[in-house]
Amino acid sequence: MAIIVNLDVMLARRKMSLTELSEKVGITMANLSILKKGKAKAIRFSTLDSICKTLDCQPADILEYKP
Amino acid sequence: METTRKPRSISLIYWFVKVTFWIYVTASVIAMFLVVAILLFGMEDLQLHVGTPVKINVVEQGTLDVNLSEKLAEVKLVGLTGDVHFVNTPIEIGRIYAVFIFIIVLLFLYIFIIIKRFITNVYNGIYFDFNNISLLKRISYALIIIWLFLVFFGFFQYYFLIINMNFETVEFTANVQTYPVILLFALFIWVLSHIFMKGCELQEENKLTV
Repeated sequence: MAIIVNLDVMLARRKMSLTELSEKVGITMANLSILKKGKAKAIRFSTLDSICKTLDCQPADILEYKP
Repeated sequence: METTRKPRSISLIYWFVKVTFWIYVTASVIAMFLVVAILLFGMEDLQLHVGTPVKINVVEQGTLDVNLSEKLAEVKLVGLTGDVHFVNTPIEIGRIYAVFIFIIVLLFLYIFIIIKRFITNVYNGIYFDFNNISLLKRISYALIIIWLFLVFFGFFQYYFLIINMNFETVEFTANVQTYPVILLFALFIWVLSHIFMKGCELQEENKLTV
């Protein structure tokens, strides 16, 4: 898929672990892992909202389009 | 851990299929013994009793004895389904029917095994699964094969046996049964498998939505 998920980059910038994000956002580790590995087929606005709020970033910082 | 209760109807269907399956397996084993006996030893005193693939033409006049109006209703009996009983079954005919029974019993056994597996999956809470789709498709293909075989055998019976039978008062029609219900049921299950396929895709998408 041409959409790249840069969640690991943002986590590294914010010096936050996946477990910490999972606890703060309220999403299971399994789901966050699916998102991080780029296996997700869709992302809810509510999830994106929570992640952006926690990591203090924009959706474009997490999602990138590479044709 | 959250436990989901099985619907009572599914449990009932599961046990019904299970019991029916084993009854069918027992009957199949007995039928297979008979088939093997006919094929190998011939069974000289065999008295076959088979259904006719065509209707029987009769013209019998009668009355309808229901007091709906003062006028007595007259009715005519014009077509009957019937069975043929061979008093002395020729060995060749016995063998033909033995092969027919052998194939039909095996095909139905195959369908029964698949239905049992499908119902077991549903009973265990596995609904939208690619294995279930494969099982439904196999049931559909097996039913189409059974339908083709029954139609073929109906025509074979008609041209090989029925038109050569002579009776004094009755005659057979030429309309060989084509069992459209079996074909419709097979096609319905095939469509159902495609609906299940869509369900599987939606479930997969739902699983991968975060």
